[in-house]
Order: sequence, then structure tokens, then C-alpha cells
Amino acid sequence: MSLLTIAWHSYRGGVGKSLLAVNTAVMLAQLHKKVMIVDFDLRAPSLQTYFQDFSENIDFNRNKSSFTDFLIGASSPEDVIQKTDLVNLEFAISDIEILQKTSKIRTKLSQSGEGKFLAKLFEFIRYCNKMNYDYLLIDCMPGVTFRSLDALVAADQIIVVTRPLKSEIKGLKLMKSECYSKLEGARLTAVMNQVETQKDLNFTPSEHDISIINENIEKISSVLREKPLIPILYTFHRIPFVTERIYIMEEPNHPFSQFIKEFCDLSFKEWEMSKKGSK
Amino acid sequence: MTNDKINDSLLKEILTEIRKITHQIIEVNGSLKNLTQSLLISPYITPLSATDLNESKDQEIPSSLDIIRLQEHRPGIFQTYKTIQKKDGWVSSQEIAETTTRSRGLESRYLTYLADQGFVIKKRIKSKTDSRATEVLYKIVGVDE
Repeated sequence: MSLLTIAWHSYRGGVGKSLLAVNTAVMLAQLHKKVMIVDFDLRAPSLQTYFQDFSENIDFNRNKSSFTDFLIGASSPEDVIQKTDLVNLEFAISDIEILQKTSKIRTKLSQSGEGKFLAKLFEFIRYCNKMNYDYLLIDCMPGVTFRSLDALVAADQIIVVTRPLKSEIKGLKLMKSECYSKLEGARLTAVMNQVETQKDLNFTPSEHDISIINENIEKISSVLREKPLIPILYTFHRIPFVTERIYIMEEPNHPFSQFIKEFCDLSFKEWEMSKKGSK
Repeated sequence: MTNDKINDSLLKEILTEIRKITHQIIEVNGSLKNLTQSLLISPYITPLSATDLNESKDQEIPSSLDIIRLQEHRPGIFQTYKTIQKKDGWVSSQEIAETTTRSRGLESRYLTYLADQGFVIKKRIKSKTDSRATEVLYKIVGVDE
């Protein structure tokens, strides 16, 4: 099997999973890899935001089925996959309609047994493998939910995204002991995101706040170092005004694009090795 | 009075015997628990209630929590489960072993356990190479043929 499934997960929401996952997906496609990215955050999908300005051919008006339709058995994988201007990059969005009270999909989702979604996710992975995708990136729901566990169980590689916040310290500790440690054989790495630097600031932060952030970084790193070790692969520094965009495509010289390139340079070799190992 | 004393001592004796029996029951119960635990943990022992061949039950599809629980009971089985999930259709323990690079015997025991727990279904077919021999194939629950 040459497909590598990478789940992007975090304890809390808002840590930047989608931004990092989408930009990494584009970077991998630029490296001539066939990439699929799926929005598996059924509670608050956001992938469409990134792709809406990316290609004129993308259909967000329900003429194209969503990944949610596939999960409830209403569509085939072919029906939910959308193409982009990049030949090697395809994606599947989740349904925002699920959030509405009148949603028929939501009723169906709540009626189905929990196991069916894991089975469907594995079906999608088998499809991607058959269609010779190199990478399947799954943008997960944060925290512990049945859907986030589905993605973690199915993934070959898990990237834990964290931020230097106090709540992350206990949260990550809990996630490690109750969840990540039980995913035997899964390769776990972490990225620290939105780490503050004092550059570009027009005021001087208080010593107190600086010490809190530094303490949080140290404590989070220490939690990740405990067994089972989750190495921090990369630290993304916070860049002011970075928003939901595909920087790697639209602004290759943007500092965020540079970070993504560095991150991919570090990860790519390991990922390719994993692919060879899983053949 | 004498009768009352006799009754009292008799009751005490009965109570002592009941206590002894209770202790013995607790000990037997503990031994049974240990025995059950060893059957669950060791991959080298086939569970007593192994699924009958050719049996294809209408089963609930296991959830991710079931998978995590399964791994807690039998470390090492997660890899077998994930490998069979990524294969299309029916597969043999040999095919799983080739992917996991573990022994066919170990994969066979894990697959039997997965079948017993309702994660996979299994069937026996006639071997293509030897007309008298049969081969066991496995398929994940919830996958259409």
C-alpha cells in the first residue's frame, strides 16, 4: 500500500489544523504527489473557505455531494471528490447543512450506528489507495469525539497540533494517556503553532505574560516528551494577520509559506519512508 | 435452657461453615477470573467460544472505541485489524502476514480472535492447490463483497 493517511488532530479547536493541513496538501501536490484532503470536522467544517477562491470549477452549491453524503451512504467516493486547478490536488468538503435543524443528513447521521462511519472512512481509504493517491490528509474534529477517534484509528501518521496555552498542558496529558497511547503502531508527531515572537509588535508585552507563555511552552514540551514520546517536529511562529488562505499557492514568499516549506522539508522524507514501509 | 445452648452452638457451627464456603467461593471466583484474563490476553490461545466457520452473522459494525478497547485486551492486534481494513474483499492470514511481516500463525490467531469478537467474518473454501485441503479467508465486517 503506497497511500499514507495523515490525521491532523488537536485537543482544542482554533489551533490552526486546517490552515496547516491545507497548505501542506498544496505543498505536497507541488512536489508532484497525488494528494487528497478531506474535511472530517463534521461539527464545524471549514475546508470550503480555503478552496472557494482557489478554482472557478469548484462547486459549493450542493450540485456536488459532500463527504457527509458519502458517510451516510448517499454518495460514492467519486461523487464527493472535487478537483482543483492543481492537477495533483483533490479534496472533499463536509456539509455545512448538517448544522441546520431541518437537516435531513443530520437525522440520518444520528440514526446510524457509530461503527458505520469508521467503516465508511476505511472504504474511502481503500478507494484512495486504489486510485493511486500518495497522501490522504484528514482534517479532524478536535478533542475526543467518535469522529476524531475514527480518523485517529484509521490514520498511519498523526500530527498533533498544539498552541502554547495553559489549557493545552492538561489536555494533551489526558489525550496522551487516554487516547494517543492506545493507538498502537500509529506514528505520532507534534507541531507547536502560533508561538509568539516579539517581532512586528508595536508594544512591549508584559514580563508576566511572556513568562506565562514560555512556561506553557516548556510544560507542553515536557508532556510531549513523556512516554509515549511525541516529538515536536516544528514550531510555527505566530505571524500577524495570517488568515484562512492557501499562502503556499497565492503568496509563495509569504513568511507562512516559508514555514510550511521548512515543515514539509523536515517531514517529507519521513513520510516517504513510512509509505515505503507500509507497502 | 440446655436446648437453647445446643441451638446456639449449632448455629455458630453453621455460621462458621458458611463463612468457610464463602471464602472458598471467593477463591474459586478469583481463579476463574485469572483464567479468563489469560485466555483474553495471550495471542497463543484460541478462545473457547471461537466463531464457527462459514458463519456470517448480522453484526453491529464495531466503532473506533471498540477498536481501542480491543487493542487494550490484546496488544499487537491493532496492526492486524488495520491491515485487513485496507485490503479489498476476502484475504487469507498469509496475505496479512506478508504485509505486517509477522508470522502467519500469529496473524491467524489474531484473525480468529477478531472473528470471535465480531470485527471480521471468516469462511472456509477449497484450496486451489490441493483438492483435499481447505483455506480460511477473512473479511472485515461492514464491507460489501
